[in-house]
Amino acid sequence: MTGSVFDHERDAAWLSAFADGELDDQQEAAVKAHLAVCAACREEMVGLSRFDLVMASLRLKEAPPEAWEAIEARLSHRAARRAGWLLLTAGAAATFAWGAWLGVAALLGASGTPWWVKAAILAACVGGLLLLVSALRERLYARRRSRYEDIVR
Amino acid sequence: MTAPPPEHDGPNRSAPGRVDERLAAQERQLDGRDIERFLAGDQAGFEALVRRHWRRAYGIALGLTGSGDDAMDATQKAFLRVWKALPDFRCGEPFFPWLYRIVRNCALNQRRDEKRHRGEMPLEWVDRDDGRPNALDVAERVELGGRVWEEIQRLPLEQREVVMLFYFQGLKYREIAAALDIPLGTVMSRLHAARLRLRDRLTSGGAR
Repeated sequence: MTGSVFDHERDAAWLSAFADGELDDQQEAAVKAHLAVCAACREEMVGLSRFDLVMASLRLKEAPPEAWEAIEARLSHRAARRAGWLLLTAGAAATFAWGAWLGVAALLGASGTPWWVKAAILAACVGGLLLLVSALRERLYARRRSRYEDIVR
Repeated sequence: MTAPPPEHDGPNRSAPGRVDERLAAQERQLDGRDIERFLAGDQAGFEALVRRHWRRAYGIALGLTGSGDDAMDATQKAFLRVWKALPDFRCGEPFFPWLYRIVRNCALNQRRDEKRHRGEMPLEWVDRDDGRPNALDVAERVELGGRVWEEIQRLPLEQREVVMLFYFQGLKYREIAAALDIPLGTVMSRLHAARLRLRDRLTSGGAR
């Protein structure tokens, strides 16, 4: 609110808001008082009302009857697909981890493997683990801090 | 415009299409309940949420894309994004502004993706409640409706959104402000500017 006296330059938008019943009491009183003495603004109000009469006679077409079925089908397919991807990812990750563990254990246990190769394997394993933990932590942190990152305002 | 000039008689507190306060509060309560159900693992909560909002989401997408097909695609994509993002929704906040931003992004992306279907006219005339014939004949209605739609589409996006939400979604200024995340005064000035522009263009015979 910018005051109780109507100013043409500053408060022009109040005329629309007045017609829509969106002003507070003070603003509304200011517009009423102004309309009582300003023929140009009264004419503007009539023009706006005429325009609103046309707009009130128009509406957006309703969604077609088959729209709900299409939305429902797409969402249910996506839900099933997501469950499939989750199972596939979990299964593949477990299988890979088990295979990797067997391979690393065999290499580390083999008597012919040089010590520096064993050290390199251990370093790679520890490094991979650190990267994984770091990435998971970052993701969890981003999830907590930026919940609306998917939404562009 | 050929509609008869109405006398100005003060603010219109019950404009057609306005959202009833009590119903809006009830809707917010239902939204909160269904979101909690969904987050607790009950898919029926999500379905109820979609059932409650899909028509409105379609209307928003239709207003922004101008095409029924694009609006359908955008609505579907929007609800898929809602489904994915809902676990991150801040419970207790109103759902519609959040949904609006998702639908808006999907619709604007869809509009960029799909340049077909131009020339559709997604507006229709509402019959008078009192049963009296409209002052315009069918041809005039089609012509005027087409011009209104064309001029709405020519508005800058920021004004077009406010016009669509106010006239065709029946939102109040503060609800529009929440949906667009802008101050109330900005809603007021954008809507007024859009009105003047539309009115001037329509009364001047659709100047290009």
